[in-house]
Amino acid sequence: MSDPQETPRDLPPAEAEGPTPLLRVEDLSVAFRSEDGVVQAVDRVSYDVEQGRTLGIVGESGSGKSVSSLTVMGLTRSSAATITGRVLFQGRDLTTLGAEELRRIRGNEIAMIFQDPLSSLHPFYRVGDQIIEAVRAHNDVTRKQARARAVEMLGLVGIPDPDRRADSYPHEFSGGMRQRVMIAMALCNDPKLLIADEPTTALDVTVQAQILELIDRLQRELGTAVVMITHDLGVVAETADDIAVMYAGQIVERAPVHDLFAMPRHPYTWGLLRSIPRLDQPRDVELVPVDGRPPSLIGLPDDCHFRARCPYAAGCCRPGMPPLGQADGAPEHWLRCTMPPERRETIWGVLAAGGTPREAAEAAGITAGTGEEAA
Amino acid sequence: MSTQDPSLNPQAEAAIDGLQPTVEDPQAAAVAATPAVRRDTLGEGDNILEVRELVKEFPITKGLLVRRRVDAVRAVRGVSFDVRRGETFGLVGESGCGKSTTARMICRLIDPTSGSIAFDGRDVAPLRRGELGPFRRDVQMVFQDPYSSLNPRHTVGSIIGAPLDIHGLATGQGERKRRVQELMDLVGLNPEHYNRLPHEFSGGQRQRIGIARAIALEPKLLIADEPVSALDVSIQAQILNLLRRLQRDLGLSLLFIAHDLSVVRYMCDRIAVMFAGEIVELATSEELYAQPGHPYTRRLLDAVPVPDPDARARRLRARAGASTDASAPPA
Repeated sequence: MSDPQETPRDLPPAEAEGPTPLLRVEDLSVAFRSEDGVVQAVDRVSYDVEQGRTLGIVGESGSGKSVSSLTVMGLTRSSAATITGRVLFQGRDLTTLGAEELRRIRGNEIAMIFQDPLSSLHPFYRVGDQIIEAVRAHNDVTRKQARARAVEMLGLVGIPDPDRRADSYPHEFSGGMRQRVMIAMALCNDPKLLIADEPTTALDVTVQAQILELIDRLQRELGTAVVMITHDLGVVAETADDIAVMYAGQIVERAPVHDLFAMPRHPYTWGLLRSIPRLDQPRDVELVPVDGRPPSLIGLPDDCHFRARCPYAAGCCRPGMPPLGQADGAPEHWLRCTMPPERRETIWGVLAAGGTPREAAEAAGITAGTGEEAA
Repeated sequence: MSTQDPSLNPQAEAAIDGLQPTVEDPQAAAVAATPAVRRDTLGEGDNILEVRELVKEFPITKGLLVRRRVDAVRAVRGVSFDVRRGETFGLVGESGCGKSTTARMICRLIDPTSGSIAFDGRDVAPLRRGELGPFRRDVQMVFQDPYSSLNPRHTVGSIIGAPLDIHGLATGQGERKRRVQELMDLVGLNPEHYNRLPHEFSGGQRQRIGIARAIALEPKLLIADEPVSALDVSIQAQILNLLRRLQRDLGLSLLFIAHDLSVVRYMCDRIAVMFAGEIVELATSEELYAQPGHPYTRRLLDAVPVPDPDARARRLRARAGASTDASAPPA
């Protein structure tokens, strides 16, 4: 685990803000120009990731969870993209760095693994050589040293006979093993932050369990901070310390994992929780899908984006975009919804006991006529 | 070679222990009487589908001009099970276990190497393509990928109407359109979108189109091969509930194939767990989850992530306890 370039890099000192977290994303917005109009993919997203912790970002396709993380890595820069806000990594704003400076951080201090390991690995090169390239891109070491590091990493991620397997090509590995290779490559330079974008979605459940356990173990051993992006609430419950739920480009709820699952507060989070079949609940609990579908991200009004699908909108919603504010009695629980707390508790009480949104709305005194499925 | 845990040897004869996949199981038969079985379809035998010793081998050939067979991949190695009328039967397993190959053989999209497929009391395995007409009407399939399973150049109307045309069921444009719009309404699509193309629909809506096409002929058996694994969670639930509603309302028998045990449990009355081309366990949904008999089933169940942060801690504790002291009696 030796890092030949242990010497501090020429970092500008962090701005005097007290102890900053490893990664602080502040009011990050990303918009893309398209033929149909401006797509507001990420809208004023803020979060912190502390050293050695895992942040789970949950959302559906198009919620902006991947775009926000790609932007952290500087991978969404293009002439059609407008990026505002700040991404402070160890106090340095990554959005202002030049391409060359960013390249020195990417794959070195911040690493990323993607959903599809087959398309992330070069099919013509041996996996060992690909890891060696990643090591040598950031460290002034000989090929031999780099290979030793590659073999060490392959062993660390649980690939049997790593010295021999380093000479295999990607197609000679199974999906789970390929994802292990990706993880080995991502971690070969001891990154401080690992961004995992749906790392297990393409894998079988048993392999998924192994990969999640692997990330968990490596994080404990190496102290890496992790941003885990997924659509699966089960996956974040198993791995994350904090959770941010994204909807239509915005964070709608953010809380420590235990708070979020003990008392989810946003109607969209309720919808997600009630739409997954669970092995730990009786089989006859009906799934309640969130009616309708996510809005187009073009020309969204400055109003709660979830209102059109929210079964509890009647009665307590105020016009305009609700701010992301602290929930009552839970300073670490952030929420973008203006529903009164008593009503929230009533509704979640009914939902958690297996009731339908209609029953929950009635219990909270919300009159019917809402929550109709949009055609 | 590096893919499998060595402890899970597919050839292990032990894989069969505790496994009685077929009819002679009075206990299972007793439990199965519970689900809503349509009265009017009873009487011709309680099983809509009886699969016996189904085998599929894909030959491995060598040589450019003269191809000779050197070996074979045994994708399905003697699978037997029944689907009862009106029930949802689940086939669960990981990639490569042969579940999709089994489904395709039952649909006769591919030919079985050996074995029998009795549909409605008649063995369809030996039938030739030309003789499959009525069978094709009675068995329909919903596919995993709602993007590649719809022709991008056909309108929704013609996609859903195609089976009606093929089997000569709709006479005249007016009748056909009326029927198609009825189907669209039934699966929760706006009938006014009759003339739209697939790309104008989201993934969930496309899967609804695929389902409308599949039920257009009022099939007796619907085979759904991973129908929701390409969809977002909130949309998944919509499609699962749609399938459950259709199954109930239309009295369909449903063969539901998936890799996700939590989805399968929600949908199915009885479940067969497949591993390496064989059924290693077959039980009712309740039994399978309460007391998984086969180690592989237990492994699958253990791997499903549960949206409860305490579950992980409990599981890790249980696992640690189990691995450190295997001889200690369970608490």
